[in-house]
Amino acid sequence: MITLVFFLLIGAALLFSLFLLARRAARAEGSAQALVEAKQALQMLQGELLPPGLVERIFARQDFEFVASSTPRQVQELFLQERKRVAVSWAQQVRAGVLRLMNFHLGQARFYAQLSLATEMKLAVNFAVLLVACRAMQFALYLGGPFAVPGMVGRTVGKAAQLCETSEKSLAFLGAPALGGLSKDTARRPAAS
Amino acid sequence: MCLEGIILFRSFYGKIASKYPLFYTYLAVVLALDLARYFVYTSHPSSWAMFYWSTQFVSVLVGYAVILEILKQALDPYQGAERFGRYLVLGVFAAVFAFVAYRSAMRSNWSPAATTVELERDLRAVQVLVLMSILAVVLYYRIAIGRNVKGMILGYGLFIGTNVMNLALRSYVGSGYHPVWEFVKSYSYVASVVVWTVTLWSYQPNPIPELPTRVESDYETLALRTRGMAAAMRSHLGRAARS
Repeated sequence: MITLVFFLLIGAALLFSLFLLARRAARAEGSAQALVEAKQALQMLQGELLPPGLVERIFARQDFEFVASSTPRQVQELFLQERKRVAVSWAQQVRAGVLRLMNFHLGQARFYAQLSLATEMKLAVNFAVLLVACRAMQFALYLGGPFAVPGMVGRTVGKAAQLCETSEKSLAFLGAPALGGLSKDTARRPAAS
Repeated sequence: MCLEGIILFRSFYGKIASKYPLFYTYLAVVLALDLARYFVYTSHPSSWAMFYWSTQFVSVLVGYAVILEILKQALDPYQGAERFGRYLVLGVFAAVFAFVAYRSAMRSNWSPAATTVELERDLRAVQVLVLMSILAVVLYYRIAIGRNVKGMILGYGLFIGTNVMNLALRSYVGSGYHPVWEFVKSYSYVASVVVWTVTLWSYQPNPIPELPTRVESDYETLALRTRGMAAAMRSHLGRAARS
């Protein structure tokens, strides 16, 4: 019986992989495009998602305390719902940014003849853990509300600076200074099929 | 047989055969086997079963040519991904042979397969694992592949995927499953050949990727920086979640 289940599982896994391959869009992901996307993801994280002021505002308890002290219950509930929606959306966007940076790494690494299998495995695990952590944060915010992870603000600001610094170095070493022109070129060029 | 003939005719007419030699060799061998089986079935029906199983192993073994063609075509311009894929495929083979060696050492009366059905199932299962490894690399590194190679993968994958499940059920249930096994086996192959006919009608190569700058020298730097970035983010999220 175990043998039967094993063979059925590997057959089904292959058919599922084929399904993923068939539904994937057939486009050539060039390094220039990946570089632009990585730069955009970095800018999005730095400028839109992780600035200290914004993160503090989203997760600030003072706003709720003010609303709670001066408004009826329905308004408080509405406020919590809206704030939760914003917090969950914020976590989603952070995850999307991390995904884009991961795509950038994969888009570059696949060309390197000296690619290390062990390093790639470790990176795959790191990214998987990071993405799962983002998803867990999203889930915690969804279940526990916008104040479920109260210590997030200060640490987000500190670590965001670290992340952006390392990403900037990575992009700079791959020729990111030319990104301005590259963005325009990519916008003008029709998508590869 | 008719569709196989059409694909082979198109491959010479459209000059695709030279682009995918291993794949078309497989198809030519399978067509030759089908014709020989048809001849034996009509002229010597009593020896058909024996002839079928002996030629089936040739068909299974030559199927590895399709896997090699897919590996070569899908990952060729991506040296890093190709290296990763090669190690993964070698890893699968090593794991399978280690498992076979372990099983044979543990059980004195053990043979690789008790029946021809089981032997074909095991050989197909290795193909499934190898193709899955290649697909994992293609999907993980988001490698763009053209219509021809995609068709090869979808057609052959569909055939061996359903075949492994079908053979496993045939081996487990026994002869009562035989009519279903015959039906699924035939139609899954017809479906694969239809996929190949459509996708290999004309030559459509893989999209040519844009090569990054400084390809050879800086993988370690790229990997180190990416790893640092991932570690920083992970530790940050972990602390945030704990607080």
